[in-house]
Amino acid sequence: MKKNLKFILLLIKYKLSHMMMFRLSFFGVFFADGTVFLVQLLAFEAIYSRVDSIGGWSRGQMIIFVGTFSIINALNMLIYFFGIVDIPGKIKRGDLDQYLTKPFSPLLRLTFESVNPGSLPLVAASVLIVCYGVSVTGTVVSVSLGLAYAALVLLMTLLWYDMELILRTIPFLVISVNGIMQLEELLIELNFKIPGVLYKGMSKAIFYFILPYGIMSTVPTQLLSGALTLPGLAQALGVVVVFTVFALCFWRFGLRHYQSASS
Amino acid sequence: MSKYIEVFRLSFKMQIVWRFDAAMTMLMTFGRIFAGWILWRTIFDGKALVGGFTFRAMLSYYIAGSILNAVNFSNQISGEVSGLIREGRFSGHMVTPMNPMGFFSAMAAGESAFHLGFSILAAVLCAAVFRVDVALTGSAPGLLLGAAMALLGLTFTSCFQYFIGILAFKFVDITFFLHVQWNIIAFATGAMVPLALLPKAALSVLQFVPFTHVVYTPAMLFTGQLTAREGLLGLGVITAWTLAVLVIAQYTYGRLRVKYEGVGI
Repeated sequence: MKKNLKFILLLIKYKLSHMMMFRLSFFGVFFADGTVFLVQLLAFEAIYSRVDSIGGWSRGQMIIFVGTFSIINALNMLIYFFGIVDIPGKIKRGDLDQYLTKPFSPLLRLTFESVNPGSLPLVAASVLIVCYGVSVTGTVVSVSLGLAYAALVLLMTLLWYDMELILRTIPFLVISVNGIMQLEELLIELNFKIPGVLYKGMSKAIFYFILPYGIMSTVPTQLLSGALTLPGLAQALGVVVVFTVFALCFWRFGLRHYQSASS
Repeated sequence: MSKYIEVFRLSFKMQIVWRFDAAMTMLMTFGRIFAGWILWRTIFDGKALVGGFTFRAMLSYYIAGSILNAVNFSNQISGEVSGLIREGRFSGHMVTPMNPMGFFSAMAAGESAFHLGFSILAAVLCAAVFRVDVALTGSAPGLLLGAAMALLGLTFTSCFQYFIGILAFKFVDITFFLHVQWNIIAFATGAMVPLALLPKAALSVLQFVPFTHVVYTPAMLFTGQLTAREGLLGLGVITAWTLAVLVIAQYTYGRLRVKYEGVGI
């Protein structure tokens, strides 16, 4: 554990030194992703100027929903996205050899080798959006509720990681994965525009249990606005556990099918 | 002119090779309509009118808007042009006896023409699956005006994205700026929500902004929620902006091309 931690800190240090060479690009993620969430907020503002609630959700809850999605996305960008996004490319080019021959877990290195501190301002801005949403709903947030919300957001970030890892492990088994990546983009965009509470029947089953993008921002929002039931929480935790175990097993399974292209 | 028609033809033919892209166009169109259906089905629950729209009119707007959005490939132009400049590979376009803006616009037009049928097919399938009785205008002038604006809108966005792309001559890496402007334009065109939901003061300003007439106005004309008379101002605005951006882009290219240091010159 101590060895892994030291290794992660070393990877972060190298990444920071590398980033100092491209200082202008540092805030790129903040501006690029920040506008996505700002524009989505504007879209919901336009709708709420005509209606009082959407599926029982008030304007404040929707702001928390957008803010929470933004936090999860920003944490994803901050910690692991840039590390694991090119796994399919590394498999195709045979670059994964360099990871497999080192005395560290390849997944650990891939996950933490490209942390992006440029996303930190986006995390801060997203927290401000959530705080604004809380003030609009008028909810009093105790320390314990705040901590529970933060823990749930971290768990949903882990779920997002699981989904990214699962989809990027598929290239071990197939040649082209472009379509899967585009599909992932579509699913994220869809679930960013629709809170999970709006899904009914088959679509709910799909986006809650099979491709669980629907719960990622919805469940923490429900917790913060006092709308989360105990079975709902248990269900969400169960989904995170199942997908994390599956993602790790699937990664190991994929690695066993890796055929190096460079040796 | 024949050179650009040939580029258009080649671009159209090339799409046949990328069959998966056609499937993705259909899936994206389906996704957008599905998102609209889920969201507005909930909002209209127990309501007949929201912001002057009926449920049928709202979904018809999303269907028309999704088609217009799916056939617009102009975003690729800014990404490709800026990438070629940054990597020093724009030289080829400087020595080819063709205007680069005309070349990239013709390429995008070829893609749009190929994908039009697929996006219409996806929209028809969606209408059948979600049981939407699509509201189409019965007015021939409305349809013609909508079609003219849709074409002008594609031309405008192609020229505009080319203009953004050539800014890489001066600023080299404009990647994050590209993302920022794509996100803002997605909202300003009315592809996310109908702009009629915005406050009247905002809409009266947006009438003079070109992006409004790329998706919003044509979609409203196609679905009969704007009359041809109401759409005429939009036609004037988008025409004026298209001419303006054509001139600005040409002037900027002439000024900035001297800063280029590329491969093979």
